[in-house]
Amino acid sequence: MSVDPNAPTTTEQPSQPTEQPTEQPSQPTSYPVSLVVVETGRQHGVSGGASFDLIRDEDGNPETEYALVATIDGVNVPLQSFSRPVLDQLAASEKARTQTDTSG
Amino acid sequence: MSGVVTCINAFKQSLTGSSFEALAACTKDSLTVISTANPSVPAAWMEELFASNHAHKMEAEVFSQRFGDNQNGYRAEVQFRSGTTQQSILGRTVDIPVWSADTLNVQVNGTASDNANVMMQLYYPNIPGAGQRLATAAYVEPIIQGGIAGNSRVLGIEVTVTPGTTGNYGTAVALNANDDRLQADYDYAVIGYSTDTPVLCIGISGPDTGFYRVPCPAMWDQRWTADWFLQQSRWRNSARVPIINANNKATTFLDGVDAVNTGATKVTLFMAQLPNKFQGGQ
Repeated sequence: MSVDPNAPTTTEQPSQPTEQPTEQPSQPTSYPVSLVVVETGRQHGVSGGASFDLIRDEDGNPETEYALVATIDGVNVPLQSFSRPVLDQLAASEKARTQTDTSG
Repeated sequence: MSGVVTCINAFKQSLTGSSFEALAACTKDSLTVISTANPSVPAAWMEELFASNHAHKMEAEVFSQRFGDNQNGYRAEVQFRSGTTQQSILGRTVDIPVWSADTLNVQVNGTASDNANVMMQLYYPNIPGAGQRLATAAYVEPIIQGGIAGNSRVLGIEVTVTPGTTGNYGTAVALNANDDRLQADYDYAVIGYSTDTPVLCIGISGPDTGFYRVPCPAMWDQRWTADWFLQQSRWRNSARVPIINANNKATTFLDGVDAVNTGATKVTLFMAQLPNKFQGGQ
C-alpha cells in the first residue's frame, strides 16, 4: 500500500469519552388542592318517585358537605368528600383545646 | 306480662379529660331503674351497651352499689375510628341484671374537649300497662319466608333523622315523614334497619312501643343491623321484634343521639307485613 507523502498527517488522538449532558432530576408536576363546601344534592325518594325533596339541614338550607378537590387542566376533580357536621365538630373541639392550652 | 325494651342514653360534651367523669342522662331519660317494688328480683336486664367518642379513644364504665362494685363496676375500652366510632362494649348474649330503683353511674375517661355518649339497652320483663308490642323471631320469620297471598311484603321505609348536635336527642321525625308506603290497618314487624352513616342510637317510640324508646344502634357493619331485632330475639329466645301498626305511622317517631355530629342521616327500617293482626305473646 503506497502512502501519499503530501497527504496531511493526522495524528490519531485517543478517543475521548463523549460528554453526556448532565441529567437534571425531573420536577414533579403539582396541582392545587382545596377543600370547598358543596351541596350534597341528596334527595328523598317518595312514593314511587312522584316527588323528590332535597335533604335539608335543620335550618332549612340544602345539605352541604366538604369536598376535597384537585384542579387539573382547569377542572375541579373531586377526590373525596367529608361530612360537614363531623369536621365542624372536630374543628370546634380542637379550637377549644388550643385555647385551653394557651390560656393554661 | 308486659315486656318492654327501652334504652337509657347518657352524654357529656367537652370532657375535662384524664380521669373518670360522670355522664348525664339525656332529656327525659333517667339513670334510675324503674321501680318494681321488689328489691330481690331483677327489675330488668342490661342487654346492650354501646359507646362513642367524637375524636379519641376512651374508657367507659357503668356501676352502682348493686351493679358490679361501687367503684368502676363494668369497665370497658372504647376504640376510636373516624366515621365509624360507634361500638358495642357488652357481649351479645351477656345480660346483666339491674335492680329496682337502683341508680346507675355512667362514667368515661377520655381526652379533654372530647364529646362522649353511652347507650344502654334495658329489657323489663313486666311493666304493667306498658302495652309494648313485641314478637319472637320464630313467629316473624316463617311469615317472611311464606309471603302473603303470593307476594313478598318486606319493605324498607326511609326516614331521615338528624341526631342532636350537643350529644342529646335530636328532633323527632314521624315514621311516614319521608316515605309513606305502609298499607293501612296492617301490622308490620320491624326486623332490622340500615343507615347511611353510623349513629350511636336511633330510637323508635310511639303507641306500639308503649311510648318507650326502642333503641337501634347503627354501627358501620350492617350485617349486625339488617336483622337486629330478629337476632335480639334469637339470642335470648324471647320476644324482641317491635310490631307497629300502619295506622300509627304518623305518631310513631324516630330520633337520634350520638357524640358525633353526623348531620342528616338516612335510616331505612326493614318492615315485614303481617297478614293478620298481631295479638301479642308470640
